[in-house]
Amino acid sequence: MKEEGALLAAPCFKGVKLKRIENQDYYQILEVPYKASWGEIQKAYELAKTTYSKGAMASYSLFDFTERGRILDKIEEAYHVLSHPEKRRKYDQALASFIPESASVPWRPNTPNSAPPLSPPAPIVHTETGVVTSATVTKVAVENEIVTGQTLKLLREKKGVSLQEISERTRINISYLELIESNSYGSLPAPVYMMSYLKQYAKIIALDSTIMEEYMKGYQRWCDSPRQR
Amino acid sequence: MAKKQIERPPVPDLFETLKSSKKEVWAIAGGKGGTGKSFIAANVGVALSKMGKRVLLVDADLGCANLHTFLGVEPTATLSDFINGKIKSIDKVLTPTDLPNLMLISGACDFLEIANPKHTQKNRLIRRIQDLSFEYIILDLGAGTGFTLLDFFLSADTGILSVLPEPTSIENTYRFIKSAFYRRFKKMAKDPKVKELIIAAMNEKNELGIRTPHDLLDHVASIDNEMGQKMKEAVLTFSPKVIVNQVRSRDDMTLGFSMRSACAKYFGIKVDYVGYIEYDDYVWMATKKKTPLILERPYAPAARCLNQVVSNLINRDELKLDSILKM
Ligand SMILES: Nc1ncnc2c1ncn2[C@@H]1O[C@H](COP(=O)(O)OP(=O)(O)O)[C@@H](O)[C@H]1O
Ligand SMILES: [Mg+2]
Repeated sequence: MKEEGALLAAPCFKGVKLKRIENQDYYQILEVPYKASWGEIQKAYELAKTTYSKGAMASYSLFDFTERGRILDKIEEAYHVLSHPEKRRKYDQALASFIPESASVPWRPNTPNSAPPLSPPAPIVHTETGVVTSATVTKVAVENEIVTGQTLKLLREKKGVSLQEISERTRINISYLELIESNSYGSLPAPVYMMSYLKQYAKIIALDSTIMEEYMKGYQRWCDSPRQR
Repeated sequence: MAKKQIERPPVPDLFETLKSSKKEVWAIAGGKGGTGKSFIAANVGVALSKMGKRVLLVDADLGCANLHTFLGVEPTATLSDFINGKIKSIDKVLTPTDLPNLMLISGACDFLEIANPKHTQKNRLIRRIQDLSFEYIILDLGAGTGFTLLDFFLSADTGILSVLPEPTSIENTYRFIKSAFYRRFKKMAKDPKVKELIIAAMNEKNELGIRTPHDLLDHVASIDNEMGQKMKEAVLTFSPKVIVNQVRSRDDMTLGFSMRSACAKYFGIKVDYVGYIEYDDYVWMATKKKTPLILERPYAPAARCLNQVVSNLINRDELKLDSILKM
């Protein structure tokens, strides 16, 4: 903060390069790095909603009602794209053409430990849009007759969320999550706990709660089956 | 560390041997009284000196100096003695503490008129303090947004703001940030028209419709493009650190992140949230005993928090959002 020569020592200012919010990209709006993981985006979003909520201590004296509303709209818009793997991938591709550093560390869903590719990421081939709508779910559920762990796994992977991330966010032991997805009914905790686990799981990947109810039905049926008595 | 007479080490000799090229000045301010500036300054000083660093604490709260009380020492000379010329050499004003590599320059409550020293006195003071051979110089600035205080803050390598998780304190902190960099803009500006603009912008209900620093810089750029650019660069290098003190809940801890975001969106500056300090009864117990908390209760919650803050400050690191939201 010295008067002279401070520029050379300027900290790497990744976020807002003194741009008005209208001119910021989605990463700058959410204040996350370009390579942000799904979890980071989720947390940044939660924080932003708190920060700019009505009467929030950190923002009420700087922004009036309209300004806060505009910021929140921008945040929703950014989150809508960045929280969705396919939309994010497309957005990243567009962004890379005018912000090269955004492409320097390619982000890819579900590959935390693999080395980043040297050239721009190869397009991920998606047969479907990746949008998990109630219709898709119902379709899957009907096809499989009931919602099983495999169904959940499929839906989760479509969202590009790893089990690790869910575990970190919910504090549910990852081994339980694995048991849920592998239908290991015999090792699962009691139904009361399961209800809460499934609810949190569903919330994280924004699944319709009916899917979880379907899964619970299967588990309950198994619990109630004669061989359990 | 109750009041006691400590034998003075041969101070000038000490200075000869303590020639050090690496030096950092940290200034602690916060817009409002009672946010823990002196408490933090004293304990940050103690923490650094316990790491083996040579540290000088300066009580630059010329209006109401009480840093010596947090350290439990009784100063024989004060900064006022130096400012008004009673003592000519700054190393004669040093008060030793219980820790061998921690020194104090005390302020004084009795010279209120000194709270706004003249420009030349101020510059001399800043230069002399920076000349001293310590590795860390920590300035405890008082409350308010006076020019002297802002100049001290701007001349430091690291500006630290201590905030309480309550609306009044946050408002004052934002006002302080705004005053600090408008002060800096004003010092940069040479064109009287640009100067006028900055003064006008300080008034929140100005007729020019300047609401945010963005608006101001656009206005400046329309008069003098080069100056507009320079000021934009100045904004990017202005990066104060925030400590949220006396936290009692997780929401209080998150506040620093929210302030960081609000500052980025409003001022366009990058504030670093270096950590929070829990509200802790051991603090007032230690204060009553006139002993720094870190010496009195090194494992008290607030002491642990302070150590984390110091570590982030040294490493130019920040608190991670993960560390709070994951709990
Ligand atoms: N984390 C804390 N927990 C409990 N009391 C605190 C804490 N921080 C500061 N205090 C108390 O608050 C009072 C004001 O602190 P002080 O450092 O004198 O404020 P300032 O220098 O900003 O005016 C002191 O009595 C101090 O002991
Ligand atoms: Mg004080």
